Amino acid sequence: MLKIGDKEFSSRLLSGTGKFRDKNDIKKMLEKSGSQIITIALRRVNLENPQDNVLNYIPKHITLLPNTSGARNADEAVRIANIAREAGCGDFIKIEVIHDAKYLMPDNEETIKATRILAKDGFTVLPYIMPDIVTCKKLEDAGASVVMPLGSPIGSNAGLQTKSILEMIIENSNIPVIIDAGIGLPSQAASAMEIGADAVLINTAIATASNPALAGEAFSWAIKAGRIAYLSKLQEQSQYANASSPLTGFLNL
Amino acid sequence: MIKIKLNNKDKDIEDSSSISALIELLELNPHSIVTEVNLNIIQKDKREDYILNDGDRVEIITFLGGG
Repeated sequence: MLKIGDKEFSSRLLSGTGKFRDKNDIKKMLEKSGSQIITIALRRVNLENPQDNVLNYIPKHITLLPNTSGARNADEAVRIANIAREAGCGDFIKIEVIHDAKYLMPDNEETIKATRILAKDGFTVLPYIMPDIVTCKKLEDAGASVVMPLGSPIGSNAGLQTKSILEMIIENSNIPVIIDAGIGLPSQAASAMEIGADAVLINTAIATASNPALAGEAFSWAIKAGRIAYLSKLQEQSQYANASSPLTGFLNL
Repeated sequence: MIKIKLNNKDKDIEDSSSISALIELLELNPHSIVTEVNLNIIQKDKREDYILNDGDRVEIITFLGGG
């Protein structure tokens, strides 16, 4: 079971509500993928053209993970978190502090600040970060419930470009490590799980597939396979052949 | 009439308008939004009694898709 804060989850796939062409696909995706946690964003209502509230498309038993996207510093992240909690979304919060519109890289320093404030205030904090081992330790000390280092830039589908750092973070972490951002294929999600990640967060790859429900199912199998592979402690690769059958000749006993 | 800042834009509304009246004026679904006045969240059940004042900064927020 994946334990985050005081909740336990059987699924190790966290999903997102961004970029769906048809919001009705969100529910189907949740059913097919088994994902039990889903991200949402908060914004000012567009008064000229009010949009549907995405909460109307998420079944009640799903744990909501509001993000602080749009926040450019710790104070803004804290404000968004408080609005989400007051609005009845529970106390899970994904901290996302970004002020770089080109690369969309998170600001680790402001994220640590926001984590400290929100954890003290009773939030279950899931910070999204640039993979960095020192930051992860500081987040742990600040009261984060998990760390969520990125695999590659948001929405890039580029997979685990940061793999060797992620391995160190996983080895060194006392709290769950969830790989967030950049995973574009089920095989990449499996790879993240094989190196010992506790879960992965997939939004773009699932939401932009022609059939999001089916994509969600593919990811869920990959994540399960990767998790079991990790638990089975597979042997490392070697440069040379290693016979699987006896090396003696057939009749030369 | 009083002048408020609504989602960072100037808006003129009737004197003694409540938040509920404003939501109705804007034709918004009251169940799918969060209302904030001068950085304080006003709970759904308090909107009817909350009378807006000249210069108030009102934010109306909703939940959208995001990763």
